[in-house]
Amino acid sequence: MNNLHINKIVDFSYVDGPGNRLVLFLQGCNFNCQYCHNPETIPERKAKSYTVEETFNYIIKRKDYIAGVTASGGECTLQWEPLMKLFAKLKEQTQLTTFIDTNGNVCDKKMDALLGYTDGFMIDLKAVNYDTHKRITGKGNEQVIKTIKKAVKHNKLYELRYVLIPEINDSKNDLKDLANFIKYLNAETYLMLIPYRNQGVVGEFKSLPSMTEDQYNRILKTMYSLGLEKIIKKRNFFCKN
Amino acid sequence: MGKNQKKILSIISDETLTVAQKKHFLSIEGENMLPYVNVSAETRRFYEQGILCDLYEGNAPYRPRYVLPDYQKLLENGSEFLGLKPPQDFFEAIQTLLIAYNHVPSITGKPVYLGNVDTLLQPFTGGVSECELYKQIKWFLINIDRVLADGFCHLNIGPYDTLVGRMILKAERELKQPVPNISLKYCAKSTEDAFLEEAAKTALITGKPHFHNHNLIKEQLGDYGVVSCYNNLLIGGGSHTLVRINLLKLAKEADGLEDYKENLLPLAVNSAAELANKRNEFLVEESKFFDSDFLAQEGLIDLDKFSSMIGIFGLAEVANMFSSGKYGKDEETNKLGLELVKLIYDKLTEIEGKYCKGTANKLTLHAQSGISEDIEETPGTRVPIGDEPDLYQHLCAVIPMHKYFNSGISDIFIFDQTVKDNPKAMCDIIKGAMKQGIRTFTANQKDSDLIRVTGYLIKKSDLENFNSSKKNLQLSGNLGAEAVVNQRILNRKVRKLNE
Ligand code: SF4
Repeated sequence: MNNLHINKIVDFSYVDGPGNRLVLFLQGCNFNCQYCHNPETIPERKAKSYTVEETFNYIIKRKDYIAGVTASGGECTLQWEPLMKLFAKLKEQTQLTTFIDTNGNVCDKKMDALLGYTDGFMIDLKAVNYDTHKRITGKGNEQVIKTIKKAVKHNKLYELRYVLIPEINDSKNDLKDLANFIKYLNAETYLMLIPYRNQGVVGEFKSLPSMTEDQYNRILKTMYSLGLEKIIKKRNFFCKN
Repeated sequence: MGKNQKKILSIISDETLTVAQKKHFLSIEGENMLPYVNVSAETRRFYEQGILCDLYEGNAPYRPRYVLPDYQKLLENGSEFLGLKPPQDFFEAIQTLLIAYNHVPSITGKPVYLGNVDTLLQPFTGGVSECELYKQIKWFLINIDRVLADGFCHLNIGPYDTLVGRMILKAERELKQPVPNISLKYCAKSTEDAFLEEAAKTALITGKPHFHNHNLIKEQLGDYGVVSCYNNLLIGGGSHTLVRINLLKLAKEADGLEDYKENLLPLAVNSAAELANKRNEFLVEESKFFDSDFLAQEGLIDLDKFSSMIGIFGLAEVANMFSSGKYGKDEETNKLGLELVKLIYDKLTEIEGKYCKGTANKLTLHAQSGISEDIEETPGTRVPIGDEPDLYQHLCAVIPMHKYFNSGISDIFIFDQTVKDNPKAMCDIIKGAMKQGIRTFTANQKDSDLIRVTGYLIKKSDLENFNSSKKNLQLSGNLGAEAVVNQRILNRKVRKLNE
C-alpha cells in the first residue's frame, strides 16, 4: 500500500497536539466502538487516495503556519507504511513535528517502525478493565496497554485520552484503576478526560445520556484527590458556543 | 430657529452624549462655519457625492488628524510648556506621560498615540518592587480607560520582551478594558516566543494586542508607531489628514471594469490627493499649527516627519461586482482585488504629497477600516463578514495586499474557543503570517466580552447602553454600537475545528 487513504484534512487544529497542527484523518479502523463519533472513518471503503508525495506537497504549502502534522482517524496506524514514509520525508526535509493519534490497537512491529519517525503519541484508553474495554470496543485491551507502555518507554506518550461514559467506565473503581495505571506508568504525560456526548453516536451507546457538567466536575475532583491534578489537561468542554 | 441653530440645539439636548462629547461636537459645528478648503470642481463633485470623504474632520483643519509625539524625548528633556522636569523614577515617568497625553491633539481630541510604553518605562523600573510596579501599571491603564476614554488611543509594546511589557499584558487580561488599543511589534529575531505567547493569551481574552510585522514596517517607514485603529506613522510625526475613497460608490459610476481601471480610479485618486494636499496646506500655512504648538516648538514633533493618508474601502464589493466569483474564496476575484490595489498604489506614488516629507513627499496608502455609517461597504480590503473562507485560505487571500498599505491595514481573524487552551497554536499562525509578509494580524476570540469594531474595541455592555439610549463614557462606544448594527460585526465567522 503506497497511497494514503484520507477521509479529511484539517489545515489548522488547536486540539491535536502541541501548537497549531495539520491533521490527516485516515480512513479505516480496527475497533468498533459503541460510541464512535467518526463512524464514517471505520469502514475501509474508498476514501480519497493521495500519494505520499502529494500529501507532502500539500503540507509544505502550509508549513510556515504549523508546528507539525498529526495523523488521526479512524485508526491511522492501519496505514503505517505510507504514513511512515510521509513522516520520514517530513523529518528529513522540514522542522515539523510528527504526532500520531491512535486507539493503541497496533502490533509491536508496526509500532516499532513508527516510533523512529514520530515525536509523540496521543493514545486512547477506552477502559482499564478488560471486560469493560471489550464491551466498549468489541476487543480486549492487552495490545492497547502494551502500546501505551512502549510509547512511555521511548518517552513519547504525549497524551492519554479517556472518554468518560456514564455508568460504563466512570465508577469510583474505574477511576481508581485509571489513576493507578497512570502512576504505574510513571510517565510525563497529559491526561485528557473527555466527557461522553451521545450527539452523533450511532452505536449501541446512543441511548446513554451525555455526561453533565456536574458529573464531570465531580470526577475531576476525584482524580485530583488521587494525585493527578498536575497532568490533567483542562479544556472547557461545556462551553455553549 | 435657523438650520444651524437647530443642529446645535440637537447636540446640546442629546441625552446619549456626555458634556465632554457635546463640547467635541459643538466645536466641529464652530469650525464648519468656515467654508471648506478650496478644491477643483471635479474634486468637489466627488466629495459631495460621498465618493471622497474626510471622515468629518471639519472644514478648516487646525490640528493634524494623528500626532505621534516623541515621548522618549519628553522623558529625557521634560517640557517647558508643561512645566515638567525630566522624571527621576517610575512614578514620575508615568505621571509625565499621563499629563502629556492630555495635551496631545488629534482629530478626536484625544491622543491617538501613547508611545512604545514598555520601552519608555522599563529604564525607570530599578529599585521598585514587582508588586508596586504592577499596581502602578494597572492604574496607569485604568486612568487611560476612564480619563482618555477613547478606543482610538493606542499604546505600543515590543519588539523586545520587558517586564513592563509583560505586566501591561497581564493587567489587560485582568482588566478587560476596551481602552487603550494595543499593538505588539513582532520581530522574528528579537521577540522571544514566551513574550509572543503572553501577548497571544491576552489577545484571546481581550482581542488585543494587534500583531505587527516590525521588520516590514520599519523597512518601509523608519521609526514608526501604531496609532488609532492600526495606522503606521513616524514617531515624532503623524498624518495631517485622511481622505478616503469609497471604491464601491465610484464603481457604480463606471461603464465596466476597463472604464473603472483606466478612467475613474486614476481620477478619484487624483482628487483624493488634491483634497488631502489642500487640507495639508491649510493646516500648515493658515492655521500655523506647526509654528505655534508646544509639541513642535519643543521638538516633540517635527513637520518633516509628517505625511497624509489616502484610504480606500469597499474593495471586496468592487471585486465581486466585476467578477463572477466571491472575494476571499475565489482566486480570480482575489487577483482582481490585488490588481486594483496595485493600480491605486502606483497612481498615488506618481503624485506629490504636500508637506509629506515623512514619507518622501508621497501620500501614503491606507486600508481604511470603515466608520459606523458604512452599510454596503466592507472596511479596507477585508473579506466581508460572513464570507470568510477557512483561516489558511483567508491568510493566502489577504496577505499579498499588505505590503502596499504603508500607513496600515488589518484583517481580523476569529478563533474558536479551543485555541484558548493552546495559545501556542495562535503564535504559530502569527509567526507564519509574518513570514509570509502580513503587515498586521488582528485576532478576535468569539466569546470575548470585547468586540472589535473596525480597528478599535468596545464592550458588549456599551452596545447595550447605546441600544437603550444610555450614555457611554467612551464616544467610541457609541460609534461602535452603530457599527455593530450596520455592519453585522457579531456575525464574523468563527474558526471551528472540523468544519
Ligand atoms: S477507535 Fe476511534 S475511530 Fe475506531 S471505532 Fe473506536 S472511536 Fe471510532
